[in-house]
Amino acid sequence: MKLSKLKVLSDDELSTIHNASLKILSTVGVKIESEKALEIMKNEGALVDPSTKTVKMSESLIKDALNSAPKPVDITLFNRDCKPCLKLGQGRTYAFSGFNAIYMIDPQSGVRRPATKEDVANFAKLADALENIDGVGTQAIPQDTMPLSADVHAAEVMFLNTEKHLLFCPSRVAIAKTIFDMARVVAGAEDLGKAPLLSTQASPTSPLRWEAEAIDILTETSRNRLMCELLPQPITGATSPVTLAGTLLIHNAENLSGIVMTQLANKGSPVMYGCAPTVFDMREATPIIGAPEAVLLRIASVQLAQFYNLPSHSIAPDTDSHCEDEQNAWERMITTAAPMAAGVDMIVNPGMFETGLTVSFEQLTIDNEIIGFLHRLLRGIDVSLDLLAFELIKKVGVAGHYLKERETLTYLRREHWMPTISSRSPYGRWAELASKDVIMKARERAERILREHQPRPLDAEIRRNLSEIVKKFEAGISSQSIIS
Amino acid sequence: MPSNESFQDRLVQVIQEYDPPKVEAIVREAVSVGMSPTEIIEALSKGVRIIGEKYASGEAFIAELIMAGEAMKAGVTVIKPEIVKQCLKTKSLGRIVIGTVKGDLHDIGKNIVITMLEATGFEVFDLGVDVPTEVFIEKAKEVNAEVLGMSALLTVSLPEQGKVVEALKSTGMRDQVKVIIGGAAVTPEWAEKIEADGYADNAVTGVAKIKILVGERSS
Repeated sequence: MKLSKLKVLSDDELSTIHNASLKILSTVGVKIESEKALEIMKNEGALVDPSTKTVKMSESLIKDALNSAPKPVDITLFNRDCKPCLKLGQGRTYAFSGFNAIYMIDPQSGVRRPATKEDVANFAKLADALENIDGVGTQAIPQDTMPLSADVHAAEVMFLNTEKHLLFCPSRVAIAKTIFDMARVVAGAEDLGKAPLLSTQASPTSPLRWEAEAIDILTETSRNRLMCELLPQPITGATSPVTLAGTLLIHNAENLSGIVMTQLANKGSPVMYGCAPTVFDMREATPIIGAPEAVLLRIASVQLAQFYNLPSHSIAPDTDSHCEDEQNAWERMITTAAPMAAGVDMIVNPGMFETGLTVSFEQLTIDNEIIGFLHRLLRGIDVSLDLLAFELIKKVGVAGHYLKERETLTYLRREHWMPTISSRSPYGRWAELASKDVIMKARERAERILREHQPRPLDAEIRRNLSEIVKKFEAGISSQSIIS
Repeated sequence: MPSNESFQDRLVQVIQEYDPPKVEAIVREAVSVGMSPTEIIEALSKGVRIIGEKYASGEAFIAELIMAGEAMKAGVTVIKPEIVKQCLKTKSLGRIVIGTVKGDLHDIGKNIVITMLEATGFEVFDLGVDVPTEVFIEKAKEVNAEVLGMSALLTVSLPEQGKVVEALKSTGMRDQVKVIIGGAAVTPEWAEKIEADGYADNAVTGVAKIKILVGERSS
């Protein structure tokens, strides 16, 4: 059988959190700072207090939203060719490279420096080639462009350098609209809902507050019938109660409020339950993600998503380490294994460390390896008659060996994961090949991919149009007409 | 009728399909069209060598190399009577006597080394496991071995490797035979201590070192 699903909440505990969330949303409510969104809410019968911009949501409003939001099995994400590529609800976790880092470990000098547009292009190209990376997120926000247009510049080179499904976390609704325009150019279609080659993330600001830009990005995404990945990130003791249960309650209420908004904006539009509550280190006064409490909160969140039969995503691998060291390795293994074993549909973050601030080619290549390891782990042990190999054991008998048996070769790849950069050779052979550690091997693999891999280029006209959109957007910023 | 060249290609290819009965059939066909046993063996070992190289570079699995070796053995068995009849001397890079020392029954690593040695073109005399010192000495003398290889997985069986080296000295054979040792319990320091000529902790390195040792001996 497959590896058992990881759980930390009982059915009763799930219900307790759900019922308490309904109460929070109907009594405390959520603050929604967008007039447009408040208007939609009011028209759909939510209790809106215009003076405080607070919305109280009834149980029936929430239940209707939970009913109309598509189930995981009803969602399929498309690639750049507008072909279906990632079918959700199949028991597989999809990994998306990402996300919005600021720094990059320079591949030549090994020194941390601000990330550039060229880095984002290279990351997309690398992710395009890595076998366990299923989709591509904005790996870093380029620091060599105008800050207000950085997301758009990143989007341009992502469209150019990968054929995989794209994920954006735009910081402004104007940026989201521009990226959707770019997607229409690439898809050659007006209706993105029919060719969902991209998704977006939208985050409330804990506790229980949606800033105008975030909620407008959410409604814009849903109006286009693209998938919106909700990303509440309450921080224990800072923006949510210090208790894990209390943090889950805020987190669940925020997720539910986002789900309601997506369904009011466009009934039946796909929405993903976010599973990334964050922990606060009270000694350093800083949010952290590599902690055991964060792991528990993620497992619990995935269970809540499944309680609602909604697709889920989490941020993983996670580490608070500032370098590629042992802490980095143990934190990222467990923070990735836990949500995957809980059955999360998507993880977003491969490639980054330092609480998400820094990315490197080596890290993305290492994460690809970790995810491959975990896919195998989750597949479990198949005890079918063939694989029990009873007849083979009879044939080989005592004191022989199995290396020359055809079955060995037949089942080898099916039963065993083959790593790409892990060290498995005996000491002598390892030493002969320059005693490389996994970071050196990851760097070499990444360099080779960047040298040899060629994502299929977009047509010249599409490339030109994308570049025009970027220019137009920048011109708009200069005249201050776009960002309101 | 197909030419000898096309049979050569087919033999090289069929080894890489790891299918002993198929190898036997093609070898029979090759014999019937007049291909010589020497040519056949050369083609078969070329097939195994290709897998050996792929194994060394990480492209093929050890199971594939072993199976290629088994496929070759099946082919050679078909022409064995012919080899004996014609008293053919097959071309060899060198003669190696190999075994797991007394008190140790582990042989999977040794067998992997043997497959790679045969694929490379060495003539290998496998003494099996739990081999007493005198058997190593007698066999090395009998076949005029260039290299003697000893495996040991258990630390407690290490001293046996030292005994064999001592026995080579006392029988006056030490100068004629190069000694290489391996196995999980063996360290480079141990090899130096018992005055072995070489040490390796894996088959690929082992075969490379044996090539060097044979070169040193003949020069």
